[in-house]
Amino acid sequence: MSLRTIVALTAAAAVLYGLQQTRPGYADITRPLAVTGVAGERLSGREFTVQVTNARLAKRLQVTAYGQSRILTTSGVWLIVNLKAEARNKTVAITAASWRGPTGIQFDASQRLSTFPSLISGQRLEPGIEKSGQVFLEIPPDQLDGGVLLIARGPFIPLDSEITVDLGSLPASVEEISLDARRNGG
Amino acid sequence: MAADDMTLSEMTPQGRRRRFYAAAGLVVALPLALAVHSWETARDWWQDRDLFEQSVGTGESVTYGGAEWRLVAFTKLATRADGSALVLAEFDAVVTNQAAFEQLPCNMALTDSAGRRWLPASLPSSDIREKRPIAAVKSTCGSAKLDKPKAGTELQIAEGFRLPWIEFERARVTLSLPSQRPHYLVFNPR
Repeated sequence: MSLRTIVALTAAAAVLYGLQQTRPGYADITRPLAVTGVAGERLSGREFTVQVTNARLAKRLQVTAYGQSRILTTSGVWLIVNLKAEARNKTVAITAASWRGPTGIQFDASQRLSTFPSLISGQRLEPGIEKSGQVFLEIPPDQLDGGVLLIARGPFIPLDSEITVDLGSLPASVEEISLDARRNGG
Repeated sequence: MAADDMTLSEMTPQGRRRRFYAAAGLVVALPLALAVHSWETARDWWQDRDLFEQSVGTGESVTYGGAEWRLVAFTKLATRADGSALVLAEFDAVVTNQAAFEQLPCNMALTDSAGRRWLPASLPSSDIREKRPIAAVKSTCGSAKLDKPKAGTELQIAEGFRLPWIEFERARVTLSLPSQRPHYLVFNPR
């Protein structure tokens, strides 16, 4: 084997090793495509649009629905996001909402209000019909500043859109917010 | 000098022929391997798409997916404050081939000229009873298939939709069944 052949083989092996080490994983290749914006802006993903209209913080929620009233406390803080959403091309549903804190920790929307009528994830979105809805999250106070709201059709739909909304400066937390299903889309 | 280090001009005619056949074999083998591995994906893609439209005029019957289909009514039941209309599409279907008919799913939708699609929605039974009481007892397409009706069975099917009321006059009803895809039906209600 000539010196030229040895050099060529070594170079090829080095390139292949480099490719192998830097190859992205399947989850990276097919990760959702981020659509970023700020509160108040109408953001268009592949299948739906979202516009955050309002966000509030509270230490506890008083929830009235289906003839019952209850208090929901939290060891963090409640973040209530009001938004409008609409399907673009065909009937869809939004089932994934979460908060990504400044350190990258992600908090899924609270399941404690999973049957509340105004929840955006409980509604079908139709093309041409704008729906109003809400997202409820429980977040440690130190994960609020610098965090973003993430909205997607599902927890992991490869190469689908994920709307990332910067809510800007949030209002100070209040002691209690009342939610009544009859007034909040129920 | 090792055989691997030989240039083409230094090789014997047999050696050159062997290399030519090896290279020519690759030209055949690579596309063949690609075709074999992607065949199922390509077939699934083909059978999962609505590619070839067949238009069906008002009152016409057409044999499709194991039944003879006819759109018998397309009714706006009510409008809502958010600008939506509740719409009911009713079909008569006579089963002609049980095996083809009972394949799920049944994809029914409303479409507009821009290609937007509204999928079936559950409508309040009070709205149906008020405007189309006859439709209150009709099955949806999916539930009719689950009953596995035999050939010759006459079915009455109703599907509800919610779409912007302004689109009602322009909407068309599409029906796409797995045994016939990529062919699908487009009913013009007017």
